Amino acid sequence: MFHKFDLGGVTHELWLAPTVNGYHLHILDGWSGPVAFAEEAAGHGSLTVAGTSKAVAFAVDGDVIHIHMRGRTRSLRYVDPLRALASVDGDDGHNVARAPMPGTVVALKVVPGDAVTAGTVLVVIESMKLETQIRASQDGIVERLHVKDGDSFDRDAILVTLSQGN
Amino acid sequence: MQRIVSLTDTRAQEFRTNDVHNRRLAAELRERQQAARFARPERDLERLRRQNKMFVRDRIQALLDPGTPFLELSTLAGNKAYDNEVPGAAQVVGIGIVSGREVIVHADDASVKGGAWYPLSVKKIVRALDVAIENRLPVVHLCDSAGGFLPLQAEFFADRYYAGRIFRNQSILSKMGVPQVAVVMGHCTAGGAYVPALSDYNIIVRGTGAIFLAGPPLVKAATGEEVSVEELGGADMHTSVSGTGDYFASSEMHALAIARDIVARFNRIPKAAVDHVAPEPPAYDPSELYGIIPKDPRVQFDMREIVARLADGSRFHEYQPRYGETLVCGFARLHGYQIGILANNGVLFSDSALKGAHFIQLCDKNRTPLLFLQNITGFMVGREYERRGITKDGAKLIMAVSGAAVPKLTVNCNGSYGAGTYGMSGRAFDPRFMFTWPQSQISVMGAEQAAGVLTDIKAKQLARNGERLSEPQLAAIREPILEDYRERSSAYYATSELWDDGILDPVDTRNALAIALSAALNAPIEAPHYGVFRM
Repeated sequence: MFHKFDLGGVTHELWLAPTVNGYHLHILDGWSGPVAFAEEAAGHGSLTVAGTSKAVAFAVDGDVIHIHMRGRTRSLRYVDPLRALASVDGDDGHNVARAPMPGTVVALKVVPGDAVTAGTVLVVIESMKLETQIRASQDGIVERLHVKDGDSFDRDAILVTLSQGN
Repeated sequence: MQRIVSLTDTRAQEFRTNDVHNRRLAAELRERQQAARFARPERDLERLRRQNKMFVRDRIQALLDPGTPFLELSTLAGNKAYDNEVPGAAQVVGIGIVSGREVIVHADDASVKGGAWYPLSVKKIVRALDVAIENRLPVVHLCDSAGGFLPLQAEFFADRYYAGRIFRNQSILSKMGVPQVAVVMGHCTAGGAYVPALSDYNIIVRGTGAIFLAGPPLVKAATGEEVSVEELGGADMHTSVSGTGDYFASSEMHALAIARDIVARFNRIPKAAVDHVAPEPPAYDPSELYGIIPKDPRVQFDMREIVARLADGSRFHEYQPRYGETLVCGFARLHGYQIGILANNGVLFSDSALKGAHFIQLCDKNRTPLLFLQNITGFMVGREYERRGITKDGAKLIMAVSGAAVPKLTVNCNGSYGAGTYGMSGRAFDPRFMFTWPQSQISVMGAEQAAGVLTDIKAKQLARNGERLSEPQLAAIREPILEDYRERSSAYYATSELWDDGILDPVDTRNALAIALSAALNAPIEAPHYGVFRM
């Protein structure tokens, strides 16, 4: 399975394979050849692709790397396959946030129409004397809130429905 | 180490004749393998697409690290069985790299008879798990099987090495601490349900994956209960209610990504320490093997010429070069690993057998894996040889081969007959891997000899009643025996029956052996100890 990178909205599938003579870059259904990188100072180095070397400046920010090379700056985002491949076609179990246990709503953190990313807190609930944050399991748009402040609910009740954002 | 000086004349007529012949055999092998891997009736591929399932080869490709080698085993299993309608015995097995770890991949091929298990499918799966046990290799199962092929159940269900052995082997692997991941991409019914259940980790694909002891039709027949596949054993139920499944996947690619993530956190166990240096290609071109292997299998050739095209730098440190010359023994390196090679240069005599037994113990003591290159018609027979103890010296060689604790690899390069097969680490002697070259033959004795022995016995029986066989009667006995031998001693028959782990193109042998050896070193090597050698 190749690693996926997003570059300006286009996905590129790449793989870096170690060999006895350094690394070999494979592009899915495309070019493959030797590549090397020498870091000369923090954030600066020399990238060699198929024998041709170029100076590059780069900065890493989480899953994003900003690269300045040949007078242009590009941002490459690593796409985690576990996240990208999970439930792309949407089903009941996966574009709704359900109550993990019976409880009451303490606070609603979103309103319909909000764009959320996986991990965004949608609702705070109280149950068994504990406050729990209910988070979005994937990226999407808040379609509907099924509860309001102070409502009580049973285990597995649907609290928020998300739609696939475009 | 000394470089072998090849005496092969690559311009000789004989070389060119062999070259043409062996390249043709290699091309035929590639064609047959290609067909076993990819040639499927369109309706079967169409059914997979309709079910939203990937073809087994695409699944494996997505599972493996790109750009890494995959050593497929027993590609042509079943090619002489079931009217050749069950390519690969409906299974794909091989050693590959997943998230940087060497693993065994075992995948049902749902494009063949819905992935049904035939007797040879079961044999191939059991062998895959034996490979995992012997070499301590983690296993990734890609499950998509319609279940056992019931009309042949008597040939795969009840015996010791039949289907139950799959689940026994899975349990033993778990007990040894060798992890397994199962990806449920189709139905796992009845026995097949235990493959994911006995794996330390399993993943079920929503919609297509299901696990149950009995599918909906059998449940209805047994208890009258009407239930859907999803309700009975789907991904949602098993991962949230029964706990039979561990991970819920929204698609096959998602499931494979999860499997890779699981394998990525397996402990890296240090490999057995054997002598290793930087690898070096052979000094002689391996493609010259095509010109060296004789077109006529009865023609003798010098195995050092083969070694010169397998070993690093074509270097060979020969041991006892002047004694027991029909068994060439010596040290070489294969992709940097030191190995001890035993190769046949003729029939085994007492001195060759003694030399072989001694050399095996030597290698075992200094932790050097063994490579057997077979071209063996057997042990020498006759009054003189029996009086000098050919049988007890052969027993010493077999005792040493059986007892050696270092990994053994065996290649049948041309022929392997009778007790020679035993003395040269045949399948029964648990070489970690066993490969065959396309023209090789294997049987208890040569076809001509067997036909001669059997017609002779028949003639003697009749002679006791004063009858005699006419020449046509003799031919009528001899011909079917010859025909049967020709068919059932071929490399293709051997590999069909899983007497080996696959047929190799000679030029691929070096790489295949290196992958096999690297895999073998995942298991620790026991201290040397042996049974009683008859002196």
